Amino acid sequence: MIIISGSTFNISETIDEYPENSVERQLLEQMSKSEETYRYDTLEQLKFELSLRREIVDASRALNRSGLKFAVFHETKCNPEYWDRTSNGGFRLKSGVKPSDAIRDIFENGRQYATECATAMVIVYYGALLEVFPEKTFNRLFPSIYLMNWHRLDSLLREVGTPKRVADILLGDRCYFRNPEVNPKTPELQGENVIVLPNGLYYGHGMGIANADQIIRALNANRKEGATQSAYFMDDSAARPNFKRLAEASQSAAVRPAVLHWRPFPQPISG
Amino acid sequence: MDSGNSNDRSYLDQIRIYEGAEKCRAALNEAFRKDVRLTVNLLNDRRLIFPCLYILREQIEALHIQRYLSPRNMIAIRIANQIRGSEASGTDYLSSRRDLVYPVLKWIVETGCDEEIPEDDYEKILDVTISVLINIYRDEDILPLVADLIFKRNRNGRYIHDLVWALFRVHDPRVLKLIAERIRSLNVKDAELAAELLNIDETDTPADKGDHDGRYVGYLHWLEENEPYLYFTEESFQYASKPAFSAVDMERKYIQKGCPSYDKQSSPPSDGDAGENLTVFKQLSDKEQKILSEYSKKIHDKSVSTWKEWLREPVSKQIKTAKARLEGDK
Repeated sequence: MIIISGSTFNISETIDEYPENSVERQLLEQMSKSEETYRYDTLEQLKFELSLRREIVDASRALNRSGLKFAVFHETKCNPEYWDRTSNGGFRLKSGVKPSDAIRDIFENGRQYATECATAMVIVYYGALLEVFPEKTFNRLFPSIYLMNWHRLDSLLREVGTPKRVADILLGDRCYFRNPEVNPKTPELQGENVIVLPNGLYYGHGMGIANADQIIRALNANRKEGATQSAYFMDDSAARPNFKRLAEASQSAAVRPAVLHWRPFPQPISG
Repeated sequence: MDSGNSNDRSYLDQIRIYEGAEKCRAALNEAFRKDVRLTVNLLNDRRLIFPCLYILREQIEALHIQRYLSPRNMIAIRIANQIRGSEASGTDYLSSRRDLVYPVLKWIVETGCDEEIPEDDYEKILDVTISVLINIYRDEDILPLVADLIFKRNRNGRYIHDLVWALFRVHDPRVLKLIAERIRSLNVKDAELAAELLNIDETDTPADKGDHDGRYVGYLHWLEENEPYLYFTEESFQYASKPAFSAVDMERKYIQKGCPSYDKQSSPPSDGDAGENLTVFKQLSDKEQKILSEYSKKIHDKSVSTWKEWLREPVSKQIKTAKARLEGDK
């Protein structure tokens, strides 16, 4: 059920704004039929979430096409024109570079980058937000980007790093396949972070776009000798951005005063 | 500069430590030019440690002297190459137990952790070797070394997530105690990482107000109280930004039946009122579950007969009593 400003929302009021089989339409149908209550203050808030979820789905497909390679943190690489590779394998936005240009470069020149599955999820979120927000707003909201799995997430995105119990798995959710008996020589395959796509598919970096059986098969192929427990999809939890806070942030002109522009690794003081 | 007895170190290690890796490589080349047998003896010195073998591996290959290496050194180089993805022999040294391989893995970790080289390749070799020793050989003697390595790397901003994952795969509260030692550290990075790995905000440990020893003692007290209900979750930094590596099984604490192991296992069935109450308990919020389970332990410790009576009361009444008493205690 969808509630807007305290009243049940009839999706027929807005569903025709979206094409047949579109992500937004599927979301509206699933949320309205659900026993879970999805609450919004305004219709715009709901529409913002639908748009961002669609962009998360599209950004997943785009990142999959980009040629971004899979690498463990000890072997990550990035385009040094836009990013500094940190000593723990993360990517820090280079000083003087526009955040929007740096994120776009990953999607356009993916072959120059290599990282593991969780960092790819964070890149998907930034790619999606770059489509939803005007470039100027994006650069104002995310002046310092640090990409390293769920570590040191921007405060506007911190919820994507904390999966919670959910009643429904929705398109654009970040979910997880766990591989409890992974081969210890490949700890990177202890699980797979994925974005939920339409038609029972998932995007997981390194796995590509695949269904649950294919992902589980791939993880099971990397278990330790004598393993008896299969990899599995954690179907009761998902991580979602705080859509309402992102919607508000995009509208607030002074949402992030300069004093809040933090950098994870300050430049050393010279002289 | 190392102040240890230089007789405890191999000739090549002495050069590496006091004059640097380049000089060490040059010394090997020079020795090879003069006398191949001497070169092999220098490499096969039993005192040689893994960091030295690591920095010389390319020279060894270039000079084609691998076949003269001692079994320990030969296997170590093959393990390193397998981890680095450059071993084409097809032999898998890491997926199953092998009597000949185990002491070599152990040697790599024991001598390799002490003098870690801040290079991705080297760190990856240690990460995977540690993971294999813990997961396949169930070697728990290396746990203190691994904990040290995690905190050392963290201080230097190096990658620790795979080491943390491996350490928590042991499913033993000894790991928590090893980490808890660092709560007392005067190094802020150590204390912060320890608090993060222990998920200390979810325990009843007092907040950090500069009294590191007090916080440490508080955590150990909490651990002692909760150990019977403790389990390891399998969460990791790959899954979440603030993983809960271990947690308290509230249901088991509520019915005062400890976990038979440190893995999450469903609670044993209870009969009658207690069984019905457990069903209701599962529907409660996390906060209410915490209050009830804590109170349950408290009265159980004081009087088992009083506890049995309390457990038969309706859950709503239990909550009321627990809240009032716990509030009164404060």
